Amino acid sequence: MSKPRIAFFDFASCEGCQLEAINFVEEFLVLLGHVDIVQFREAITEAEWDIDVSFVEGSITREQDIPRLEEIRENSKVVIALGACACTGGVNAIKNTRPLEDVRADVYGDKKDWFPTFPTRPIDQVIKVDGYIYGCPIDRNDFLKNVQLILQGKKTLRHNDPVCVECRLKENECLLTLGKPCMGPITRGGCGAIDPTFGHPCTGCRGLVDDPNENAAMDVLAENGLTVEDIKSYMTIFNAFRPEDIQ
Amino acid sequence: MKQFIFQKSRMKELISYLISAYPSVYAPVPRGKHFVFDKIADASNVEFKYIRTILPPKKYLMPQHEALVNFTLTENLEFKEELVTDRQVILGVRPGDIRAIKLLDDVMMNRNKDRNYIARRENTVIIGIDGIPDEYSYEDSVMDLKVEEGFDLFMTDLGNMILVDVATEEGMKIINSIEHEPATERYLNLRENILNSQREMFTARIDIQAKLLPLVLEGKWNHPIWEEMGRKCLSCGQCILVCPTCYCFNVTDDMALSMEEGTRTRHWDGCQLADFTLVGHGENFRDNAAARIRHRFHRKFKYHLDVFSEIFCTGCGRCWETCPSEINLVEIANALSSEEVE
Repeated sequence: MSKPRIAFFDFASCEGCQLEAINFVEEFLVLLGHVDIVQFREAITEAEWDIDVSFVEGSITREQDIPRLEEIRENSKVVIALGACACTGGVNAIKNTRPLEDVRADVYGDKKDWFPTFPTRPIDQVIKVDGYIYGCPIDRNDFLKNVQLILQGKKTLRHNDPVCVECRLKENECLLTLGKPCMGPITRGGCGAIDPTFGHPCTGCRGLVDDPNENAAMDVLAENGLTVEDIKSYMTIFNAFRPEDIQ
Repeated sequence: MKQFIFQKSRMKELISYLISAYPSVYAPVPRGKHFVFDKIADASNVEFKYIRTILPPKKYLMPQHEALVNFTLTENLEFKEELVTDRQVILGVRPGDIRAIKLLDDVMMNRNKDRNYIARRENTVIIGIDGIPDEYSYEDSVMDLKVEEGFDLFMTDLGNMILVDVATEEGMKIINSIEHEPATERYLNLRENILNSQREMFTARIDIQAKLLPLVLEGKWNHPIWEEMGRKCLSCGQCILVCPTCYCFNVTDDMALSMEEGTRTRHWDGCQLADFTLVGHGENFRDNAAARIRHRFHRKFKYHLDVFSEIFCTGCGRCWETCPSEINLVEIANALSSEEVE
């Protein structure tokens, strides 16, 4: 039996998730025993189509991204969103909270007309996506677990249990009980609660759980000393994208 | 049960003996502003004057993540059961947690025979110690602070002296490792006084006898308190993860990267998490926080009373202290029962 052919692609992103995927050399080499990599701009020069599994990093921010993403979809049996930008729009979607013209002027100044962009969207707003590997960046163990599942023909992990679950099982001190604002209660887990484990509040990089109680979360953040403005910006660091932004 | 006293200054000696005699000794140690049970190498870090630990000592009988079976995908599928049988001591367990372990025994050893739990439990020595409550504690509303069973030794801090109840032969052997003498009437009376003063320290109370809650719950299925709490609940699951009497779990099969071998592991799981009741075809039969909170309250104060004749809440206050929205079972119990009075 031939090995599954996998490929990595990127759109608007820092490419940190792909870097994370190849960063842990030992495990990556074992992984290479199970797959053939046919496209991976960050690691190899060859580029072939006829792909079994495509991992797509980055959000969609420009008109010309759409045909390229559609081409990936047409040539892949399975498409996986890799990392926060692809899954939820990530930090790139913060621009959706302000008028597009202002954002473009901020970045490109008087050259803003040279670089047309549109509101940021996660890749599943453009093509059908078969699975998600969350996080900014992705968690390497979570990535490997998901790759194993994908290779077995299974779905990727839902991670609908919030960050609090892993945080509590690790017996970290709850940052909220210490008066620090934390997005853990409504943010998808699967990261091993890495931020709270090192004393940093969760900022929601893995996206919100399926049915987040945002009102209660805002009340809790307000009790922990955040103003309404603070709460709004805190909750939109990684979760600014709203489907109505692109309608 | 026999009672002895020993000088508090001998505690270090006692702990040293335990460390030399048992492969693992677990005791409360500080973690930031909180406390956790952790393996100790000497007596220096042990803190008996704690209120509660983040997780209950249950984690040594049923770990958060516990390997059940290792398997290998050869021609003949091979299985190897993982049973842990190392001797262990849990030192400094509060009365509520002792009672919680008794309840878990009922569930995991008597009503069901959970091989992994039984293997760990039968190799566990429990040494209890008394303590004072804080604003989240309500043990006094759901149990007797004076525990009579479920431990090998139970220590009461009398100031310079420690009064110790010896319940088992192994407990006697441990006490024999240090100088001690039989407890006279005077010390037993002193303990009663301490217990009485501890009972008066509770500020959080369930207004009615907790064993009456099953009656109170009749006709309350659609009471507005469930929706009210549901609006506050984040469904983060912290309450059920820190609970000393919760025992629900999920089981996963995880392959090694080689894809040739794997492990079947059980993980703590519970009813306040949205996916707990998610079943095939995407149906979720408790798909909102109000229904989940109602279920949790019934589990603690009705369903288990029907089966085990015991309240499955020890009043330890862990769920209350850790809840970001400060949801607590005392408030719910009092809201439900106040209407009975009217």
